[in-house]
Amino acid sequence: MDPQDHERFRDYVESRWSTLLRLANLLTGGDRHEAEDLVQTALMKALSRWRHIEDPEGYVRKVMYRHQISRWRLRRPHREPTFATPPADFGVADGTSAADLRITVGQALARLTPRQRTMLVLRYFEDLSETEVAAALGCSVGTVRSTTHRSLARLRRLAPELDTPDRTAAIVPSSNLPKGAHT
Amino acid sequence: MNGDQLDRVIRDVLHEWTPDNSGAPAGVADRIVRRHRRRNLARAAGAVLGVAGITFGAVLATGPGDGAQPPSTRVSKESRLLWQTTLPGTSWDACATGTGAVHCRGVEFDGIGVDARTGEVEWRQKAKDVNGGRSPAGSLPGVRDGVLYTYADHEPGASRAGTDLVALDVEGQQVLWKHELADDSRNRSSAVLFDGGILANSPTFKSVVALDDRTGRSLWTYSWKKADCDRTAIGGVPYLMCSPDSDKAPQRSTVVRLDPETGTPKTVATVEGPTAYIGTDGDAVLLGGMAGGQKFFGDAGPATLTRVDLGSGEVSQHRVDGLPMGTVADGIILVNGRNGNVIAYSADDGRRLWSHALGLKLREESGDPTMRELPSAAVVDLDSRVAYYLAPSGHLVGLDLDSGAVRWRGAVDVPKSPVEAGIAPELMPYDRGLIGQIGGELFRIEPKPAGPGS
Repeated sequence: MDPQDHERFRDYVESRWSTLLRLANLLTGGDRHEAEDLVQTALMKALSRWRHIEDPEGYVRKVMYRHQISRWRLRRPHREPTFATPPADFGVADGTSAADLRITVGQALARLTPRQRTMLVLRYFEDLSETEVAAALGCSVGTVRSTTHRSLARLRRLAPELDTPDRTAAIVPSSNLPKGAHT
Repeated sequence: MNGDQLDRVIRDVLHEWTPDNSGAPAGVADRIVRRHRRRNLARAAGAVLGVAGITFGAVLATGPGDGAQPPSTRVSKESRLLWQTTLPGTSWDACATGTGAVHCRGVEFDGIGVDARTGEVEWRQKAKDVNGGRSPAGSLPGVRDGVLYTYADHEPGASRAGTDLVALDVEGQQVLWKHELADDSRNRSSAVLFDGGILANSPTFKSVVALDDRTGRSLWTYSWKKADCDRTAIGGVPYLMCSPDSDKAPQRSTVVRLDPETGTPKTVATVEGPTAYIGTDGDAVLLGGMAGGQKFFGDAGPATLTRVDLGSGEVSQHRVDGLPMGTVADGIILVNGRNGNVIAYSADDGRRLWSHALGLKLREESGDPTMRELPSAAVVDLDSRVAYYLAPSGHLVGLDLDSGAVRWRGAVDVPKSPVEAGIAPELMPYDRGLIGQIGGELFRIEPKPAGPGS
């Protein structure tokens, strides 16, 4: 790597680290060590092709998505992975229905399988379309649809509060609009 | 809550949550560059070794000098034994790790829970009227959402007791439901967890039933003819890998995807001849077939590695010098060879990458030198790129995934026991370390391997 590339890589890492770490934290369900490792692994892969990558951000993100859904099953191929511990970072119940619900949903998200969580993060945090998710993960649109459907069903099972009417009423007014949403 | 409201809640949670300290650590970019350089050096060494492995493959398989030596690497003997526990009972068949716990099953206990932090036995579920045999090569389906899926005798005390798949609530040690299986295999195909359910070997040898994991309710069934089908879940979706069950059956193998919600089958790919399921590599299924006229899969001889891309159904086939049945990790198949060595093959094209002796003592059965103890299957830590193995003697070794060089050795004191040929201890990844089971001994250890090429 020549000094110019090295400098460009260093600038990229320093400017984008926090954004990439935030995404990695979501993908790993709040495991900080896993998240940092995921970012570093993706950056190392990018480094191998650094000179040829036109869109480093897109490349690194795609590596993170794919690595996250493959790393668990590669460790022990014949066993379904168990679940990550729900992170404490989602906060503490403050007595308001909306906040409590967000905490519950946050913890439920952490308990999804890596593939299920990755699918939801791509759809709802990265705001990718089904086609874009399919391209990013190297699977079919049908797989994206069915996995998203199953992930949401599982989320409802893990957070039964989602189907409690008063909680529903409480959460609706406080919600954020999705990134790039049309109103 | 309707779909739109749920969408908004999820977006809320994801967008509002931020890690507390997300600034770039000082010098992180330079550290990544250094780590990348070290890995490149190890890869280069591995590639050189791979070429040597191909050139001398035939000699290595049959003659002296088996175990091409990789470049020398400092071997660490550093580790931290966090705990060691002697389990109650005399015979344990299989274990699985869950959140904060290790669960095992054996002849006298349908389930036992051990605190993964301390090694203390937290609960146990005794088997009723024990008279069944052991199945030490068996497995434990797993644990999910506080429910352990295990096996128990269907009719305890009966001469042919049969086997139930049992869902056991870990907290209350209550049996939530049970379902009778077609046979007593109790292996990794007998029950497979997938998203939303568990795929059980029932009601016949040639069918599976999907059970609701919370209630045991039957969701759907799928049956087939003239084939034996291995099962697995890939990305939460159940797949069958089917191979002809006799010479009279159509001589082709199929990979079939089962819709998790309906059980509707979709044939992903069909290949000629019988095959055995090896594992998965990313979104590809790996199958092994015989290519030298062998009669059985266990017979020595050339083989075919078949790679089926699950997305496109595309099939590629590659000649291999032996059937590469083993653990698949990051594009590498690790095969436990004879005489206690490991052979690494590329999962992409079947190239032999390296071969290395584990250096573990594996005792022979007296009077039959062909029967000996086995090492555990590999457990691969992709962060450090080390493949770990455990011997029945309590000795452990960690090989560099890319070169085969020994990077770590460790040992745990276990009571001396008679030779049990063909039986392997179990090694499981847990947190940043390993949990091992040898007979009734369970332990947790954190290896500290030397860096690659250090």
